[in-house]
Amino acid sequence: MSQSLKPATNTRHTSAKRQRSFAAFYCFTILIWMSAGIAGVVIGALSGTGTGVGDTRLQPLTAKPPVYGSITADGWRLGVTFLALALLPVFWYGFLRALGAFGSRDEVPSATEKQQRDSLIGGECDNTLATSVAYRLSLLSLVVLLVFGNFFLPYVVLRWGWGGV
Amino acid sequence: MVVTDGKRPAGQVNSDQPTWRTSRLQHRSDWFTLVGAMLCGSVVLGPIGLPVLIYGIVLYRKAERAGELTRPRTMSVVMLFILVDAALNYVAWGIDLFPSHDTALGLTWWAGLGRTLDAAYYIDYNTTHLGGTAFVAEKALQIGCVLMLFPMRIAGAWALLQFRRWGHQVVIMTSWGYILVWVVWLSQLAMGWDQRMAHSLYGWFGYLTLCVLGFLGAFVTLPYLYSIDTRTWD
Repeated sequence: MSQSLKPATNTRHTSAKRQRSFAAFYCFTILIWMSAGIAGVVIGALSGTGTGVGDTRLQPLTAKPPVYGSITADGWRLGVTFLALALLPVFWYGFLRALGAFGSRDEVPSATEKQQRDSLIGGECDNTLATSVAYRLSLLSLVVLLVFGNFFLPYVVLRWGWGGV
Repeated sequence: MVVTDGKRPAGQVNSDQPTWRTSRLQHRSDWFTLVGAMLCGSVVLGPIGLPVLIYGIVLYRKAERAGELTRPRTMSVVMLFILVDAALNYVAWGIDLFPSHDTALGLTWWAGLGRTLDAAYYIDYNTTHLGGTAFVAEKALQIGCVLMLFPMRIAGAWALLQFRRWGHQVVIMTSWGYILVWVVWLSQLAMGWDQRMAHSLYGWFGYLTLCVLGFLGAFVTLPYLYSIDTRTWD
C-alpha cells in the first residue's frame, strides 16, 4: 500500500479495481470451502464411515483417567495453564510493538483522531462490499461462537458425563 | 445495506467531545469488551464472560449516544469477532497443550468434544509424553498456534483497536497464517480420517457445521482489513 499522503487522482478507478480483486478473493473463499466440504463427503463415502450421518463407530474411552478428580485439587495445573495463556499475548504485544517502531521511519505527519476516524470511514464507504460482508458475517459468526463457547461444555457434561467417562 | 458509521452525517459527532483515547466511557468499554471476549473464549468461563461483554457493548452505545467520537462500529464488530474467535481457539487448544489436559475439567471438555466431533481428542488421549491429543500433527499445530499465532493475533487485534499501524499489519499477517493453518489442519484431518471422523458421533457433518465454520473469520475479514487506510495512524 502506498504511504504517500497525496490524494489519489484516480480514486474511482482504484476503488473499482480493488472491488474486483475482493470479488476474486470471495470466489476463492467459496471455492476452497466447497472443495473442503465435498472432499469430506467423498472421503466419508469411500471409507464407508465418518460423514456423521448415522455411520459412526464410537469406541470406548481410552484416555488415561485424570490424575485429579476435582477442579480444586488440581489447581496448580489450571493456574499454570491460564497464567501462561494470559501472559503470552502480553509478551507478543510488547514484542510486536517494539518491532512496530521500525515503521516510524516513514515521515508521516501526525493526524488527529478525527482525521484517523474519517480516513477509516472513508475507506469503509469506498469499499462497501468488503465492509458489508465483514460486518454481517462477523456478527453472524460471533453469535455462533458465543453460543458454542457458552453452551458446549454444559452439553458435553450432560451428554457424556463429567470427566468424559 | 449494513448500518455503519460511514453512513452517519458528519454533523452528529461533536468534535469537542472526548475521543476514544480520552473518553472514559470508550476506555472502559474497550477493557470490558476485551475481558468479556477472553472469558467467552475461555471454554470454562463463558457464562461469566457474556454479561461482561454485553456491559462493554452497553458502554460503547452510551458513548455513542453522548456524541463522543467513538470508534466506527464496523471496525469494533470485526475486531470483537477476531478477539473472540482467536480466544476460543487459543484457550481451548491451550488447555490441551498445557498441564490442564490432565485435569478432570480438561478431560471433560476434550473427551466430550472428541466423542462428539473429532475422535483425536478421546482415542489414546493423554497417553503420549506431551499429554493431550495423541495425534502428532494436531499437537504440532497446537504448539505453533498456542505459542505464536493466536497470542499474536489477539495482541494485534487489540493494537488495531487502538489505531496502531503495526496492529493492522499483524492482524493481516495472522489472517494469512490462520488460512495456512486451516489448510494444513484440514489436510491432516483428511489423512487421519479413519481414526478421527469415523469414531465421532457427528463426524464430518458435525465438524463442518460447528467447528470449521468458526475458521471462516479470517477469510471474510481480510478484504475489510485491506480496505482500511492506515496512512494517518500512529
